Amino acid sequence: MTPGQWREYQRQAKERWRSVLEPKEPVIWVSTDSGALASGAARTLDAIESTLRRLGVSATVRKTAAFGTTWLEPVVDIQKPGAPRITYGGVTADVAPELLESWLVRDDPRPDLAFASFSDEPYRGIAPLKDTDWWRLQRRVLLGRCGWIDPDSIEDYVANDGYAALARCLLEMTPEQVVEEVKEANVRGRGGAGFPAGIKWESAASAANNPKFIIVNAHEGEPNVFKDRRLLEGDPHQLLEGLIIAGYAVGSPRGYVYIGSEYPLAFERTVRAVRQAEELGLLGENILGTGFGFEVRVVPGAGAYISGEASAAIYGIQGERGMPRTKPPRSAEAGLWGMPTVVNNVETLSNMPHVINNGAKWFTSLGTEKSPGTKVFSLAGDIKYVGMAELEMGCTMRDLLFVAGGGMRDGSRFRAVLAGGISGGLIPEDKLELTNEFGTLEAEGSMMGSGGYEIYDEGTCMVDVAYYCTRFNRDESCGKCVPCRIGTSSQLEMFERIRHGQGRESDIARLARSSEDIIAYSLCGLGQAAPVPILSMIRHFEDELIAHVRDKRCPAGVCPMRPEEGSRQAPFTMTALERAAEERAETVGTR
Amino acid sequence: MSLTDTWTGSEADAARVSAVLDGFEGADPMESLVPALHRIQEHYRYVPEGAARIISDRWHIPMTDIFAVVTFYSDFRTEPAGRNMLWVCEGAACYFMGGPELGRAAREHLEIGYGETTPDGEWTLKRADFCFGACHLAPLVELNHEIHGPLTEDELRSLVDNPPQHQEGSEG
Repeated sequence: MTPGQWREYQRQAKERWRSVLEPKEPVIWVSTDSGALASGAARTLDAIESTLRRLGVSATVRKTAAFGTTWLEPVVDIQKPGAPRITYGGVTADVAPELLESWLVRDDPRPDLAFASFSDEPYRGIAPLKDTDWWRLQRRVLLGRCGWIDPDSIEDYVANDGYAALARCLLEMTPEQVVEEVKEANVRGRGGAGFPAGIKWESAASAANNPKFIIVNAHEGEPNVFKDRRLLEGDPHQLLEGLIIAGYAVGSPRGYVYIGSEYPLAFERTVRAVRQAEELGLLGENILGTGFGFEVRVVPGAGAYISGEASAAIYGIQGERGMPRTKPPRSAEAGLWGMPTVVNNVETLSNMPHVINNGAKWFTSLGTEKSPGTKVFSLAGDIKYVGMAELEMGCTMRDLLFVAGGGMRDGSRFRAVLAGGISGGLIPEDKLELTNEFGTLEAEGSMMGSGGYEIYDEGTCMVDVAYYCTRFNRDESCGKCVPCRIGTSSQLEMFERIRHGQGRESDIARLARSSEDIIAYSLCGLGQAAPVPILSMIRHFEDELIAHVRDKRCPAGVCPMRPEEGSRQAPFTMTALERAAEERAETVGTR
Repeated sequence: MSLTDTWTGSEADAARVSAVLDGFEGADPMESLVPALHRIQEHYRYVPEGAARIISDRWHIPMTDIFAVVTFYSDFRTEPAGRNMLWVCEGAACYFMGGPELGRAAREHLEIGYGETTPDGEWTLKRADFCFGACHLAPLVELNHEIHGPLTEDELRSLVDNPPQHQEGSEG
């Protein structure tokens, strides 16, 4: 494809898109991401089509992915000519016929089923989306196209400024200029570590060995974190464009997208996106006649959370056990097949087209000085609006949870939020003024991480939360290094005892001390972060732990607090080793 | 109507595995190993040793390296899975909203533990620590690639007693 042909394709795509925005007949958008499908969106789609036939109404049915309103699934949007687009929630196959008949035939927009309308003023009893709590603080950049475009259509993507940044890079910028722009924008790694992507790109670009590779880490793997999944299901070309830009900037001929096997739909849509880009000539040899060629391979994982660790992902792609390795050398020096490799998270790369389109200055005007840009959060647990929200970095926890998240469900009371996922820490109510960005939650023993937040109400036992996280980390530890393998196991044993009413007060100090050791001596991020939830539980909810070990009582009434029934384990007695540790604890005290 | 077969080590089995490997012609064998194992497991519901041996011979990958991969990744099995695959989600949302109770009900009802298969080969029960991305349906289970939730223990038992007719999915 020549630059001229590209511009013509772009013009035609935009023209066709206009007919979507200003329809001559009703347009019905049906959300079809994995959250929607789990709620029965496929049956809703069937019901809509058969109802339209029955009613004899002509309408355009468009497949899309959700805005992030997961709690409302199955979500259906309807736009009638002359009326704003309206979002409806809970549109199961039973509800769909009634809704279509009311709105399309009897001209009743059904405010009882509606969530919001895309209008400046309320529309016939339906609140404008921009005034809803869920939406009003959001700054939609990465999710901007979600809910609008068909994720399986490259034309929809191009019509909404897609691949314009790539064309600009290839036709108007040198690779050095691209790296410079990304460095200036200070796009920090959205996988959790926050390392500046531009610096990664620069060091890989300047490494002597060739070829160089780019890896997209889409092996999210963590319970309750689903933002990368939704970005891939909702807008796969956005990632792909960021990946090709990275390839151009670094001077790499090939990129890999490493996707966890529990993401079949994300995998399917990414593979399709790659094929479409190849057909259009935006992947392959001599892209846009510039001589730059790039190939993308989509690689499935096979379970094992740890293979989402950056160095482990490299081994995973190489068909080996996905276990982390010691650094140095860093991946930018010696990564995939020993070659300089950039490993970036899905969300990180998805930012790149926006950085190129709008410039580094625009990007740094969003968010905070140290953490520019927006962040996509996934919210779950005892919160009203379970789903996704994209806010500027630096938003307070209270705004995120109690405005965009809608507050607690069913009038239950907030207890704590587990920020940063399983490797993050608990944040109690009196710390909700903390801001969400890199390096702030750490002051209270937590972190933003990849932005997966789990919200707990007062019926949740904080000791149980720490136990749960420890169990997860013990199970997912690859076993390569001793502190993580043995450390998490012995901590889990302590928690088992505590939960079953056999804990002792000295366990508190032992949990704290062993946590510090595991953090200090583990090889990779999993071990280094595994005890973080435990330490944060001790820090903010020590009373609750003390009630478990001293009074043998679980204040939330969750833990069994009695020896396990049918357990073959003898009631707890101290082994010689533990007695020695006990004595040491008494003489040394808590560090 | 089952798309899966039992591995007997016959020539037909060998031909089938070879055909899977043919699909990776020209690709790097090591980069193809995990995708190929997925394809084989989709068909046999586990990775038969004989199939691994064919990979080893054709792609010159030592058996020990293949076995290392099969045993490391939680997706791969060395024994056939049951015809019905039931995952009980104990992800961070489901765990605190009744997942462990569903898990106990499933274990008692099927009379097997997590990771086990019923003696008649009908059911395999697994605990999911990852995320199905459907936390709004917590607590949930995934039965044969279809998500059901939120469920009570009674609803789970009747789901197991009357599993919906399903098409075999393409997921590993």
